[in-house]
Amino acid sequence: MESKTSPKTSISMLFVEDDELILEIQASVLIAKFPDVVLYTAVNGRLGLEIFKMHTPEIVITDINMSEMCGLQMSGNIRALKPDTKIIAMTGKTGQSVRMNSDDKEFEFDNIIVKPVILKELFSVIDRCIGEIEQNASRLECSMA
Amino acid sequence: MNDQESKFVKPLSLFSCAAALVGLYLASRYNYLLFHSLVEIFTVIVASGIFIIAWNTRRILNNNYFLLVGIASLFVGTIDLLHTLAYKGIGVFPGYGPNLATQLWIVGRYLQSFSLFAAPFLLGRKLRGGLAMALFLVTTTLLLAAVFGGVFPDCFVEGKGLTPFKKGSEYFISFMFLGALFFMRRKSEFFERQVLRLISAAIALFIAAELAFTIYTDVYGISNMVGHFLKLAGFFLIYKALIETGLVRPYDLLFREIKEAYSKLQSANEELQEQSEELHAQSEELQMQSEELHVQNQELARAWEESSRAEETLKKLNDELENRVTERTKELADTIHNLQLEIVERVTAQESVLRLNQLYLVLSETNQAIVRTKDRETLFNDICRIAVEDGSFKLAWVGLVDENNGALNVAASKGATGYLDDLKITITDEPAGIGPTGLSVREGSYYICNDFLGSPITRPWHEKGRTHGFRASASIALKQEGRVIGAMTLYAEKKDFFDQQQVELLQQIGADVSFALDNIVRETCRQAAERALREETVERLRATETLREKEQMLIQQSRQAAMGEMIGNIAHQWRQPLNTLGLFTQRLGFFYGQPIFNQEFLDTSVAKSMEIIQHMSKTIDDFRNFFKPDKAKGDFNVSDAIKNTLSLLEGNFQNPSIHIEIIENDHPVINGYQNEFTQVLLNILTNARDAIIEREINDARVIITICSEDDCAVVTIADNAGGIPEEIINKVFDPYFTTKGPQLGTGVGLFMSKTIIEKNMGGRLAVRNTATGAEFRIEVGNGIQN
Repeated sequence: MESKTSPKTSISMLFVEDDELILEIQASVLIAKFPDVVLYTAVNGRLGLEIFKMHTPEIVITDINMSEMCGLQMSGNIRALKPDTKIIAMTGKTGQSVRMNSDDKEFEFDNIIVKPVILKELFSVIDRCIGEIEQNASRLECSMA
Repeated sequence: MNDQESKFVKPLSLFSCAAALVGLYLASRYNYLLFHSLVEIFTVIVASGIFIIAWNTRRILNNNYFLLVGIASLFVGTIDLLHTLAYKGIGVFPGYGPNLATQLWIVGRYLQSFSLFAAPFLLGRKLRGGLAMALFLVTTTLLLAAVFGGVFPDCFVEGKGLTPFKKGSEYFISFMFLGALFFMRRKSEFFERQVLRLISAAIALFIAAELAFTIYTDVYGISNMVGHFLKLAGFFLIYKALIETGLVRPYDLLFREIKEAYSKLQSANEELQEQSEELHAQSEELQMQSEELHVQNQELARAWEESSRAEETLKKLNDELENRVTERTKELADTIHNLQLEIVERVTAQESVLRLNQLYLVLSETNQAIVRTKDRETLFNDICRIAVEDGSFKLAWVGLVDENNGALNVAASKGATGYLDDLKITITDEPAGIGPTGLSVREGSYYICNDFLGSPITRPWHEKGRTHGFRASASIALKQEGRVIGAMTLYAEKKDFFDQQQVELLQQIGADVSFALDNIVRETCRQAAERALREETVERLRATETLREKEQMLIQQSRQAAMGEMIGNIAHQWRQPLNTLGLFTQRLGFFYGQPIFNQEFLDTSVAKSMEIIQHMSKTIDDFRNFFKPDKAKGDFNVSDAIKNTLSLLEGNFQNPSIHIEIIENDHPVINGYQNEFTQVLLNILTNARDAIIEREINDARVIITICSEDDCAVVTIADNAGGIPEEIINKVFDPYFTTKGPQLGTGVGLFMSKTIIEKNMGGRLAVRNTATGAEFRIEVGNGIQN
């Protein structure tokens, strides 16, 4: 549906983090690293979901523990809206405990970045996501053609 | 002794009597009613005294005369008391007049004279004190009913004086007293001479009193007064006689028979002595006669050849002499036989006394042994030893019943114990069980066999008994707590060894030993109880120690749990700033060489990084302070302590976001260890957070209120996590009670919190459910108010 109405030429990304200092630093690095990617930011899950509904970014990077609507809740909602969204979670806890907290929702993140964040790791995960999205897009184009 | 005493006492008592009489006379001069009341009350007191002594010494007295007179005195005294109360001018019985007092008087005298008249006839007969008492009670009640009911004839008519009935009664009563005197003297052998005199005088006084009462016309007259004096004196003499009989000379009475027996024995002895002397004299005479005969014989021999005629004369003389010798010898033999009989009698009496003495010694020694010994075995051994050594029994042994087979097992023995070898005695119905010992055990009393070798019941043991020289045996059952447990059996070497007195003594020994056995059982029970108590105390001490160890362990666990919790908190608090720091550091490398990386960019990064580092440093200080043990108690502000605690939990209450509201109504200060207080707050807040997470509460809130109530600082911490289930709310402070599962909870947090608040700080920690969640309430006494 999206491809029909407004075929996307560039990839967009949503970054949700309630610590504003981290948000600022990490956003500045991400902009510098991925100049072609449109970056949206939000300071909590609720705002993040609103922005997602407006712009439907392909990639969502989110903190888990946030005051207004946590990362898990938001991710669940996003998955419900658009299941193929790449969601990268950043958490101070290990992946195990994330899964444990969300086992009732049967939720699994595509990727989990453990805090403190190592930028190189984050970059490579984003790169991989972009690669997958582009592949999918070209496959879709092929099938359409 | 007695005479001396009475000589010494007499002037004194005479003087006091005279003084009392003069006092009473003076009272009569002053007020005749007072005199009458006093003299009658004295009489009643003396009468009561007579009753009390007669009744309580009735066993010692052993004289029914006094018992009856004593019982009568109680009732006569009672009637006399009523008479006193009814007396003209007292006014206790209004509407009766002097007639009532006189009627009561006559009733009292009838009762008194009758009892004195009847008493001599009871001497030497059986009298049951209770029955006599009841008879008197009934009689008195009937008489009083007659008097108060108006059935009794009039005795005194105002203005006219005494009625013929009253006068006649007094004469009749006088005759009764005369009769009493006569019959009492007929039985004088029952009384001491002095007692006899006292009673006779008393009765004479009663007669005189009666005669005095026949002639008065006014109840306040002189003859009335004299009559009362005489009556009081009469009662007093009876009292004296009773004292003499019941208290002064009880021993004389008790031992009179023994004394008599002893004096009889003495006189027999003297007689024997006399006869012996006589015998001796006769013997000498005989000797002399014999010598004389010898001389005559010689003369005869000389004359033999001289004169043949003299031979016949000599022969005649010889025959005569021989006759005389035979006669004398026969007399002598009779005397000797009599003497022997006397000696046998004397020896028998002596033996009886000796045996009695021996048994008394045995009883005395047994009682000492009872006092001395504390266990059954020693007691049995002692009494057997005493019986053989002091009682001169051939054998004494104690057998105890074997509950299983009914056999008697020897528990202790002394003397000819060879007899007991292979001895079979049982308490069952068989030849071995119907012997003296078996019978006494079964009947629970005693059994005397005074002819051991002749009795059919001892047949199984005749042979053995003969070998050991047993001729009599006695067996006394031994009881423990009322149950027969065995018997003590004694063997004597004489037939008919045991007489009535000995049997009584043996019974006494049996009773004493049984008493001692009861005592031993009680003592054993007491010791066992004491031992059990001691053991229980030790056990309790041990339990207390274990409890203390457990508590120590709990404290250790609690500390470790707090430590783990804190480390978790530190990790949580540091994760975010560490992440920020990491990003700053990586950003420097990332932008290096790019135009954005200028001096300002670098300065900002460094400054922000340092700010984060400072914050982390402060955080770690907070935690370190919390873990630093408080050196001493101190005053601390409650709200400061709460804010401090919340700063330690910073971060923990952000994800999920829990709104914490502090309501400060007051600023109380607590004296205590601040860190312990913080630990309590941490435990409660952490529980609240855990409940909020577990139950996924939206809009989670914790409200902390601080206020003061009655010199107490009160902190309540209320959450809205739904509260604690009612079935476990009473257990949350128990050690090792947790709802969080084995990995997350140790179950010591709230237990330690309660210990800290209630034991260390003397406060109170409680929990209740509110409409929305749990509310913990901490109350601690106020410290110094700032």
